[in-house]
Amino acid sequence: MAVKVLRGNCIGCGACVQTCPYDALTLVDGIVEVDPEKCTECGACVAVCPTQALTLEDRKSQNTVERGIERIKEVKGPTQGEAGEYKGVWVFIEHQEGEGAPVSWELLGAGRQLANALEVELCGIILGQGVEKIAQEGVFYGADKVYLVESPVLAQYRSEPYAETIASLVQKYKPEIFLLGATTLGRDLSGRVATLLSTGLTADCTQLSIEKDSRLLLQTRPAFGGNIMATIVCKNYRPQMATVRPRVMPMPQRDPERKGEIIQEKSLVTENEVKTKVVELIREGGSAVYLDKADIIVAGGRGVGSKENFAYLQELADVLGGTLGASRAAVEAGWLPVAHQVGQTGTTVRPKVYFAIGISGAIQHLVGMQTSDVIVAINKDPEAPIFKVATYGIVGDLFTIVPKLTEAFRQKIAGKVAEGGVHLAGKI
Amino acid sequence: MRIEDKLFINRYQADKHSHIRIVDRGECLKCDFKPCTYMCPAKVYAWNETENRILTAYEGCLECGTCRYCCPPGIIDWRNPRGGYGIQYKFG
Ligand SMILES: Cc1cc2nc3c(=O)[nH]c(=O)nc-3n(C[C@H](O)[C@H](O)[C@H](O)COP(=O)(O)OP(=O)(O)OC[C@H]3O[C@@H](n4cnc5c(N)ncnc54)[C@H](O)[C@@H]3O)c2cc1C
Ligand code: SF4
Ligand code: SF4
Repeated sequence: MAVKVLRGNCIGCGACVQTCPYDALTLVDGIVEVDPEKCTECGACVAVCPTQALTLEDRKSQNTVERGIERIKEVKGPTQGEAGEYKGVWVFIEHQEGEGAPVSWELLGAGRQLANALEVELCGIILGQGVEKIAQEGVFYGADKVYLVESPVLAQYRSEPYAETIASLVQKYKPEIFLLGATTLGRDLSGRVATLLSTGLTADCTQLSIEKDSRLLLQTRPAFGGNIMATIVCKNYRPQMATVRPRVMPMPQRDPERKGEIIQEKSLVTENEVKTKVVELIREGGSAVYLDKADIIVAGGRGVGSKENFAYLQELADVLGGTLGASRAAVEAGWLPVAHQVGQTGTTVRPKVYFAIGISGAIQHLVGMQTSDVIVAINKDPEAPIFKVATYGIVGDLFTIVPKLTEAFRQKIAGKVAEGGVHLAGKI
Repeated sequence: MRIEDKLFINRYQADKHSHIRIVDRGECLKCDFKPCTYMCPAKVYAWNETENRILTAYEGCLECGTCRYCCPPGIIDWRNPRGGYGIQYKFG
């Protein structure tokens, strides 16, 4: 099987030829041709083709996880030998200012499923000073055991002592799976731990599952800027390590009645051995935008017309508890700071709802938001490319539509509150 | 096909700061034909009617240098992007 070329669409731009990592494509008389021997159906070319001249529709299964399982069935899992001694699922519990990071609880939820599938126990590991309370939270969110390491050396996060301590505990207890949140901290720490343990690490996964026969963890993550899903396994080395994107796994129920064991452990790292010194922690001001963490984004483009007009969007955002976003054109015009820019050179976002208001949908913008769960486009031009990716499209003038939408949402939310949906009250 | 779609085929490492600066925006108001808005092959320059000023979408710049010569009052301060930034031609 290989990618299929829709010859009529091909404009001979050669973008795919440059992109193909396997040299499977060539231009013949200005039209692309595929060498089926070389094509691995990775799909990199499909993603870059500006005219959709390449497709993978005939691929055996669109679901990479299923395809992954098919392939893994052919390999033997490492149930014997050294790797077979490793048992259990571990989740690294990240914390800041006395609170656990939400992603750690999400991971305990995901870890629970994996541990159940493997019939092993789920453990948390937490490092720091004065963090026993957070360790206890780990139990409430589903851990059977939490390993707690307290030491002044670990009081503040530093790569070296954290990685050394974790690596030695992993060697002692031998978990088969080790998960961390793909936060700034998690991304820094995971690479170091994986290297110390000489094992495999998949960064930024969005899906995790177990192939029962081989006990392998199927680690699925977007690659090539989100255009392809890759399912990766770590066959022979343990633990199988993965960082997982925050907010993709559902938050488990916190159960304050849950019982679990907290096991005190020691870190052998002494302050003299650590090269990194923390001089000062600088807190970003409250106005900093975390677009990539927002659930609802209300984004405006050139169509909004002026800085003052962004007030319409701000109102909608306030009613919904959303964050403002912008196209490059709006940032360029100075209507919003660059921290709000969504797209190729801005932030890549994946909120639950993305409002694209007065945004044409240039490809450089689309690559930064097209995987949003729901996209609502408001544009007066029915031909605007944004409508191609929109879940809901409204053709019309944003200055009439946005205030109406805002009002409608306001009433709806107010109605919910009246019915007793108190949890929304904070957002109005 | 829009010019942005074609620019997407290029590889860029866009800098955070523009390498293009309009030195004297007063001159743009006097400029009749605004040649930068149609001479630039990457459509970097656009005239904003409401704000009466030239917008420079510098990320798409192909670094050809045309704008420096097309501007009648010569008020475009164009420099090469910093090392490592700007367009990165592959098989150029
Ligand atoms: C290397 C490179 C990197 C780039 N990176 C990014 C990036 O990260 N993010 C990004 O966004 N762009 C990026 N761009 C720019 C991108 O190509 C587009 O130029 C930009 O996204 C266009 O922004 P826009 O949609 O707001 O403006 P326009 O394309 O001008 O669209 C405005 C839209 O508003 C509509 N409109 C106007 N008035 C109204 C009204 N009253 N009611 C309703 N609709 C109305 C119009 O119909 C139109 O569709 C990049 C470009 C390059 C070359
Ligand atoms: S050509 Fe020069 S003066 Fe004229 S609009 Fe463009 S930048 Fe301004
Ligand atoms: S150097 Fe060329 S591509 Fe860049 S802005 Fe000037 S005219 Fe446009």
